[in-house]
Amino acid sequence: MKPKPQVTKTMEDEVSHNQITNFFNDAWQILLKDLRLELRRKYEIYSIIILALISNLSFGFALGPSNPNVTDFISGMLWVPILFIGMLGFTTGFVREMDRGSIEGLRAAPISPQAILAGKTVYIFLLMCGGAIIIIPSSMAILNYSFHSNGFLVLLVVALGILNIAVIGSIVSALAMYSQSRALIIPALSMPLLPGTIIPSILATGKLAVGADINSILPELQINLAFLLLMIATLWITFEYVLYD
Amino acid sequence: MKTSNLSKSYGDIFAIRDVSIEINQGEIFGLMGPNGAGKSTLIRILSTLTKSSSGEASIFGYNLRKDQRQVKKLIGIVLHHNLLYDELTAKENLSYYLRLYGFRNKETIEKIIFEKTSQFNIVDRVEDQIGTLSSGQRKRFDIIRATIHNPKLLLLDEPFSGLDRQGIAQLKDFFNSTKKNSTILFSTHNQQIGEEVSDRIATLEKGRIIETKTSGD
Repeated sequence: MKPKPQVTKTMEDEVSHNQITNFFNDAWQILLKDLRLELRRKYEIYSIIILALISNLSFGFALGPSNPNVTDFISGMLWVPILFIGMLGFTTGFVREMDRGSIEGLRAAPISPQAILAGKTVYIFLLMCGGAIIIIPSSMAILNYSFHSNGFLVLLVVALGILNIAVIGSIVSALAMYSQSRALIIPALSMPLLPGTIIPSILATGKLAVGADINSILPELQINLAFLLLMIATLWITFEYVLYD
Repeated sequence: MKTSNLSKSYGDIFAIRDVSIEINQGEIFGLMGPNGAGKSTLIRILSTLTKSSSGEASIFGYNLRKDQRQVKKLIGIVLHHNLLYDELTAKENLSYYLRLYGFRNKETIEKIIFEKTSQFNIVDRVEDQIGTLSSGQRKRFDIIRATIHNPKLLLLDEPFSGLDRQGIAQLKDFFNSTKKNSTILFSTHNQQIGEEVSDRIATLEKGRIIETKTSGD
């Protein structure tokens, strides 16, 4: 067998070989690149802001200001626009890389497939968090309600729900990217997966809106956490085959 | 680089069939043939982007199937379409790819980008967004992207297409200067360029190699 050469010595010295730091660095670079692209494009950010405000204003006009029954509906009213923003992120995850052909650059780079997955998932997560930051306070202002002293718990429930949706989004987007009918496949694959996290998230948010404490939402938190671990484990094992095969 | 009876089929249709070639270190090897001959498929397989249906291939002793991560570190690829992001500047694109190849030091990254873009006489456009550049300039930046980490094997699919006369001359110079450190496999349908640039040329037809000759024969 011929000797196996490495890249030029001077360049080789500059290259990091630590697998753990490389994993985080690669995921961070992919995330940073996606966020930079998002900020340069702008129209998706405007869409998110308009969607968040219009949905809250629509509900505000439909229910009227200071409606005493608003807490009965609020959880659904919050999660529908958050979910829509998530669907927007699903398509920008892997599908856009496929459409522009740049996915080949990621596939040919010597990086862990899980790092690609992590970067894309955190990107969708941050996109949705940005939407939630607009949706929740603006709905509280327009519909005149509060989460009493449950602010931290609301953050926890929303963050966990969004993380679950982001993980589902990553795998759905990755599975759909090679298909000619990806516009149909993304919602079709999302439909059976999303209720697993949306239902407990809506129930927990609804309970918090009427002033429930952490003990009341523990079952929903446990379901969401178990769902998250299950999805991450499945993705971690299968993603390499999804990306390369 | 060595392939042995490499084949890729889609159902009953063979994109390449029993391709066996051996390319020596520092050699410039041209792949010629009409459209649909299998040139791009062969380059995609060697780039680890497409899996072969049968046969073996190794790059610097690393098996293409088993040692993919090692192979990816040693190769640089240029495909038909560029792999750059239109909304990012050329510098951001090149820096992004360098970091994916493990480079961390900002000064080193800037130095490499300057050196590589100087080679293609395009250093004054590094701050421009890729989407604002001409197709020839994009192509040059894409070639720089592929070579930015000093790969030991360069796989280029139709690298001369879309380049003007100056770009073609620069790429030829680049091939000659890179030859010292890298092996080059490229495809072209332009016989004149193929013969002028390559040390050896293989002609593909319907997925099979029908002729291999040393340039000038």
